[in-house]
Amino acid sequence: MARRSSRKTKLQTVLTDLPDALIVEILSRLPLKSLCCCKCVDTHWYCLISHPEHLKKLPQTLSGFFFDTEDIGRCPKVARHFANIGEPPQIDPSFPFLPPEFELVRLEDCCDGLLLCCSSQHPFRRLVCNPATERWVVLPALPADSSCVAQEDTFHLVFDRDVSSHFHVFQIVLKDWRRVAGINMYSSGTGSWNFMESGWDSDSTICDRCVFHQGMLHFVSAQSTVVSVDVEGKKWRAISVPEGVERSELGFLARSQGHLHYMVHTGIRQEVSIWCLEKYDSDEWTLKHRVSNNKLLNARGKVYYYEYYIISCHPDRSLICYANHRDKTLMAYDIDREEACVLCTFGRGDLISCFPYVPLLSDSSVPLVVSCSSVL
Amino acid sequence: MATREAGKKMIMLKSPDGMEFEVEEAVAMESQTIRKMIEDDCADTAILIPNINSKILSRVIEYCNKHVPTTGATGAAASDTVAPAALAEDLKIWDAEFIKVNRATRFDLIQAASYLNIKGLLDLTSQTTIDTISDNSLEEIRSFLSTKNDYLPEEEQTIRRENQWAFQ
Repeated sequence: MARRSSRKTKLQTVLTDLPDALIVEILSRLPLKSLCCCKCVDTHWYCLISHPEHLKKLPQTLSGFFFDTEDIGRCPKVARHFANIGEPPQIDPSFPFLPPEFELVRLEDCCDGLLLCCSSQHPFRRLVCNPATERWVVLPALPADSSCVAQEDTFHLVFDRDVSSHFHVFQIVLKDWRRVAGINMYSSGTGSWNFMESGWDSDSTICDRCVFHQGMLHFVSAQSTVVSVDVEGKKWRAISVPEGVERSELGFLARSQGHLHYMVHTGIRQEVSIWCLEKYDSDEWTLKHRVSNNKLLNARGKVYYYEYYIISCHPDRSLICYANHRDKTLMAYDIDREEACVLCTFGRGDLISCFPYVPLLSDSSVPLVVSCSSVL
Repeated sequence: MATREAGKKMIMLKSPDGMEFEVEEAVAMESQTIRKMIEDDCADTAILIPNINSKILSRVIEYCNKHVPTTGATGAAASDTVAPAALAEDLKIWDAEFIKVNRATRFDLIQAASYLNIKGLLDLTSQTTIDTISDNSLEEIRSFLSTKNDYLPEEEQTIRRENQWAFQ
């Protein structure tokens, strides 16, 4: 077999004798942590792993945040930003690749590299796009006979690159007293909307924020449970929140290091507790960590829970990401090292939404398109 | 090496060093590359497999023989009377024995698996490399890869800081 002998003086066969494409094929089987380790080996390996073509085949992690700020002294008041935290790609948050109809698009959700956006001129026009590949698709409008009261801003994007190349969009439908009547579910596989009646307890009221994990979309309910539903609306599940959590405290869900996490203010809202559902099929939460408000903000004196906003956990690391309203910064707290650090500042105005972003660099099997003509 | 059996279509594979291997079509079609050639009717008499010498090609055929589904290529293991779980366990033990080869042979097998597009064989041959990189310290990985740290001190400091979490 032909070998590139120039790189090596000894006779022993080494991995780097293989063609780069084959090395990347092998590296694509590594966990992210080991891949980061490999970057530190030498400059050749760093270039090999960081090459844009190779990156498409390798596992990705959190590369930044999309966030909107509002400033009444600015025109327009609301501005979208993308803060890159070290890893490529750099993304233009105005999404210049979208057609004019979606020029001032509102970002509604972000899930595993795909974004759900709503047209600001036509509030019923929505699209799903991948800003890394600049591909997108407009969703069909909800059927006119969806008679139930629809809650505003309750469209959720559901996608997991490791499970399927199809995405789903969920719209929560409410009845009286904001209780959940059911969910309008869009599937990119069938290209249509379907209404599924709620299989949760009929009193369930849920929070806006949700997490897709193990094929199920999870919400925190006001009834001290975490409720979930699968993408077909067939499996409906509810598990209790961790024991000892006050009923008045609503937590936040996150997916991190392959597990579902539940974060909530405890200790008269002076600290945050983080639980992990290590065995997904059980309802046993394991307390992972407790951290005070002061420590999160690196501040002395009294820190109120409303002075920061928990965004999420890092998908692959033991980090909590949150917005510090005092200093107008996005911050991360390392659970293992018990240290907080600033990721970036969000500048003028108030933060009104923030989505962590893991790029999807290769999406040829996801039903999105590049040209406008085939869709409109 | 396969021998001719009644009713089974046979394919001739030739290595560049002149050796010929007669194998069942089903076995050869474990390779997606060969499958495509057969399906595109580019394989009437014999297929020349470039870049893969007879020693490696015979090992690849041995692997495909073992992994071809159902019809008894190698006797008891593929028999219908064996439960699927037991069959999987048997294959695992067989794979573990199969991959006990020196590094040069393993890398030749990786290249062959990649060229012939045999996913199972590529997974199996890559696993040792994956395990070695996953389980060892940076210095040990460098030694395994026979490479030297060529970062400038300040470069290394930066890159180590950025990837600090991977070493915890």
